Amino acid sequence: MRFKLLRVDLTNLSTKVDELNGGIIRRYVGGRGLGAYLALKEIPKGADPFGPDNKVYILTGPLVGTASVESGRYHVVAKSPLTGILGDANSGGQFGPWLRFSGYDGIVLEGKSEEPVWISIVNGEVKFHDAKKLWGKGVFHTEKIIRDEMGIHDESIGSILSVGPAAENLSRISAVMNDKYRAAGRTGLASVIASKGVKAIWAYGNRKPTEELYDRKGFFDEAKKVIEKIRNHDISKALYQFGTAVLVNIINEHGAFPTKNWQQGTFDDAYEISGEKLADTYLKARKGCWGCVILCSRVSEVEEGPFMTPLSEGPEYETIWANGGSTMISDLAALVKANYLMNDMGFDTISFGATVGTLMELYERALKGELPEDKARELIELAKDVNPTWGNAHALLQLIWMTAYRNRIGDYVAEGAKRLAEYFGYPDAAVHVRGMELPAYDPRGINSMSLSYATSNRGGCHLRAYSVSFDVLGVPKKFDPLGVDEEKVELVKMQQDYFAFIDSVIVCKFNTFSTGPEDYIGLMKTGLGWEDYTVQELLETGERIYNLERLFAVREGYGYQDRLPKRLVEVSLPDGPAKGKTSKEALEKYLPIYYDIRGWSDGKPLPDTLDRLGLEEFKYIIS
Amino acid sequence: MPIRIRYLGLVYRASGLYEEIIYLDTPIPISALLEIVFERHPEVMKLIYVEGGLNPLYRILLNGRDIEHLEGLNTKVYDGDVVTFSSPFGG
Repeated sequence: MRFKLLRVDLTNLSTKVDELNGGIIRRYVGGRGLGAYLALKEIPKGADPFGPDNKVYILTGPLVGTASVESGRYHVVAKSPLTGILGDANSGGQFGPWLRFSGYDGIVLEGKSEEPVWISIVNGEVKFHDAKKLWGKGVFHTEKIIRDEMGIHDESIGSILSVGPAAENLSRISAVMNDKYRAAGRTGLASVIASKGVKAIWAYGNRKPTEELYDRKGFFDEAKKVIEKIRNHDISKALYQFGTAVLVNIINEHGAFPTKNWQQGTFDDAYEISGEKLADTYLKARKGCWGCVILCSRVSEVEEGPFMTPLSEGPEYETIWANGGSTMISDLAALVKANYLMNDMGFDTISFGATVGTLMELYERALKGELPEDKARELIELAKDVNPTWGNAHALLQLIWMTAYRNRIGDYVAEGAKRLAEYFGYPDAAVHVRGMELPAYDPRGINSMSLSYATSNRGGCHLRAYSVSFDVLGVPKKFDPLGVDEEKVELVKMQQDYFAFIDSVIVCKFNTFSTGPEDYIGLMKTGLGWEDYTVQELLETGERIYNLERLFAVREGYGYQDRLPKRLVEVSLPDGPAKGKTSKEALEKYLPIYYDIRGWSDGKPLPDTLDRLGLEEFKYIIS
Repeated sequence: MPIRIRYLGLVYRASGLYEEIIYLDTPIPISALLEIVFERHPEVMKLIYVEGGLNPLYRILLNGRDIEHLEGLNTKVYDGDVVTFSSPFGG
């Protein structure tokens, strides 16, 4: 396979095409892996995330847009303005396949345009368009204007990637949006795209990636086997019925639903914002990404009342938690509306809600006199019109606008929880790893997540290793979520490596509940002609990618220390089945074992490890 | 003595209920409680009972602790306990 990479020089508004050879693809596959490799080679050490030296890699993978199920995805990689190290995010919808159909397997945005532009890519032809009239507009309006201009209004034909006002105003918690509601949400990469003057990309074309497969018939046979496994699995059925929001009650029952900005493990009103409640109230339909048989997306509508919201996609579990549990907002209609507005403004809904939860705690502490006096006064003054108190849904909605346009307290929320809490003199209120807000599983109640979070290369994340699957669900094997068990370490490491491959090839991670690495070997052999491909090579490729990402942080000189926030290791949960637990014991036990099996020392890969993985060219970073 | 029973996800769909209270005279093991629940909600039994036992993707919790890490089906329920039937999920 040859990977056709479109390089877009924004400074000169010119393009060129690189064709990457099969050797590079076999080592890094595509998506996240290829992005990490190119970023480490091409983004200079110390580059300003918003400067012209940073680059944005928008990449598909070899399975994207083929007959392989759940392959409607793409990956974005750049130096993150939120964490200062390598950022990456993944999104579904239709943009990934349409990018391939347009003639390219990936795009690199380089340099910086003086004036805002949007880019159309149609059957290999690239055009730059004036985006001044789009600048300042929300994602939904932007998509409508571009479709008007392209004359294609059927939303299943062609696809748009865009950034919202949050990114234009360089919020560090912005999300790259596509197909209106889908987000490459984490690490703030939309603002890097906006900093280059790019508002949107339209992709359309007639290329058929399936026709480029090595053994088309063999590939179809392999794909069919995988589809049947996924379609018939109980987890796929549950995702169809309730979406990811089914997790609200389940995680709350386990006492691991971070509530009141991680000050509690259970939320009394969890049912009110649950997937079950959503299914019985505002849910109107179910939807899937391109090539999906699961259909986990919710389509919701609030028909009346103060939180009336038009028919739109979402909300997901993470969005409900961050903007509901973390803030103690128990009005589901308000969360449906907040989700809609965050999508339009282009926010990472996890980071946004988590930052609002942090603000609510800071505001409470300011009123109680627990912040430095001058900071408390400043915060109260900046936030007095919003009144960000626990459970205040109107404050949440108001903050979406204020943050997108950096108005008053919104200017500080736009920086993310870490910077917000540091500025107002109470850093411990921000619950983050490497500067990125943690998602919706409290590791004090699900202790394998302490290792998953602490060692996540892009910052606090549940998608580098989803160890909830074995601690709570029992897949592939059930463990006690409160029990410290060394076997969990090997599984976390295996998931990290396997998921790195999944994000590179690229298919949806929801496949991994019902399939394993062995299910992809046939697809790689028949699709790419890698006839000697093995599970061992697949996992080693994932491990290579994981080490590459870590090397980026080592090269920057920070972000490789594997730690958890003080609140999780020093403050025990006050309620629920995990009452009295911290993450200290588990992390102290797990981390040395993890380093041993990774071949790392204090968070840095050892020379032998780089040799083993064929990463000799990057050994200078650790010397 | 009241026992609070919660049905989540696909089990919620099968029972038609999020929560109900079952009154017991004395503490009983989960295995006996299952018989009561299955009698009330045959659809729940069809869902979580497979040949050879319970479908491992459906977890039973007692006060938030998976019974697998307590005494399994022999775990006894007492006055005021919460028993949860949890569903498969993905996130």
